[in-house]
Amino acid sequence: MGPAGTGPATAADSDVLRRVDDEARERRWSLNTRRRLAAAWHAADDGGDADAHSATLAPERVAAAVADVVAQALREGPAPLVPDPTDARTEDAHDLPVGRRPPSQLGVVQLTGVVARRLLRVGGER
Amino acid sequence: MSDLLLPEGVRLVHVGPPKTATTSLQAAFHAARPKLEQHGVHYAGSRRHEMLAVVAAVGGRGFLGGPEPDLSAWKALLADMEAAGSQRVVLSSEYLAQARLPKVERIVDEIGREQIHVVLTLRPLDRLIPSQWQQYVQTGYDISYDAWLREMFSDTPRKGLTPTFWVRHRHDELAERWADVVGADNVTVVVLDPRDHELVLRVFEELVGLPAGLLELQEDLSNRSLTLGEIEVVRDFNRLYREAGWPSSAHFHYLRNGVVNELRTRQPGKDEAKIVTPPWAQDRVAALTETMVANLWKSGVRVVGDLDTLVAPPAPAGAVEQPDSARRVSPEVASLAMIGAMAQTGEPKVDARRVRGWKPVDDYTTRELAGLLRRRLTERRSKS
Repeated sequence: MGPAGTGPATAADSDVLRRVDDEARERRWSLNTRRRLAAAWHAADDGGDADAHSATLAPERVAAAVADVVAQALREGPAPLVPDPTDARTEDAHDLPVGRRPPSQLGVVQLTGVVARRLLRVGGER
Repeated sequence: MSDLLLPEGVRLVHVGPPKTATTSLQAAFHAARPKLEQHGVHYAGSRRHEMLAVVAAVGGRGFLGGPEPDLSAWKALLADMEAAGSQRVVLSSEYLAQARLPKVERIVDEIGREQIHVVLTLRPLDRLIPSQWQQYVQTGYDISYDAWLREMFSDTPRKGLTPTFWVRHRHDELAERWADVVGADNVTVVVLDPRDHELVLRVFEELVGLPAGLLELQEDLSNRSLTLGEIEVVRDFNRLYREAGWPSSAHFHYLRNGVVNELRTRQPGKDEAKIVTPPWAQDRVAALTETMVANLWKSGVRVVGDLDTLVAPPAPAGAVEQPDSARRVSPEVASLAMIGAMAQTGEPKVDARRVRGWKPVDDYTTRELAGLLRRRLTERRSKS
């Protein structure tokens, strides 16, 4: 299941969505950006691909997905793809374990807990 | 001393044409700049390829939506060559191949007629035609390969459709055009060897008196041709782009700098479909290359390599058209194309700063975290 919350229709669909989402995560792009990518891919599915169960894809569909991304960018202008790490309300930290979040996404109590646990475990030698 | 060695003070002008190892030659000269000077050789300009300067000189256009050609850059390039004095100077640009006769005369006069030696690098036309078509598609054309070939081999090709193609790739006429201005004695044709990619470097070393091996091939995927599937994505995007009426800057920003650059980060598999010339066109190419090679033999220019290897074979008996399914792409290509476009919608400086800000707690030392905690508590106390 991609971040758009829509189930992939074929193995190739699933593969594209997984690859796109993995790469977007790798680049630390926001959940919103990842949803936009998935939405662009789904929007480009006009049902006209005669070989929908193939492991390959029609170039027209890929071009349409790219055009969808471009069209939105031209409408809305450039915007950061990476979420603001200092935004305490960002949803992007919610699915991360505490250790993978930046300190700015932890409250004083959580941060105190992390430091305390480390000091107790190894005497602070890091 | 090599028979090929050109005199001191020569201005070696390498005119391509495109798709004849020009990028690897330019990259090798550019990477070797400091060593070249020790051997009395200067590689003109300061970049790998002074494209915009040369495009301005030949009266060409830049990439769709990209930076404009700049005549002042050409003047600066001429000044750079002039300043090299008695050094042997190498200027390399495949865009020089699209200069028509008046421009050739002007360029030769500007560089200095007495000092010029023109070099063409040639490979078989049948090998470079697919590559040249996909290059045109990257600049915004959405015509299919077969339709484009039919136009190029038509007696009345569509006006405005890749008008430079035969200017660049009637290789006999290209050699003749420059020889008419500088003299056939001052033109060398280097026939590339598909089995030995370093041969062209060795020949250029001999031409300008560099020790063998000084020029080195540079590993670089950024100039590779796109596969059939990849270029079909680009071609269909061009159609959508045109229908949407988007600005040309969008093509350059999202397509060239985004999608195409991202696709080029991958090394295509050996089993991926390449662009295959249809049998009818292969036969036309074969006939044409026979004529071109015969004309080159008669031209009186100096030849390094075997001209006869430029004659393309006709289509084998029973050759069939490439099936439509060959155009389909892998999920990897699809995902890279989308990532490439999306990457161009961001704000690079802000994004780079934010990426650094997402450094996870686990990557901090306890001392760093304790310091952060202390600051937080101090701030909290000062607020309360």
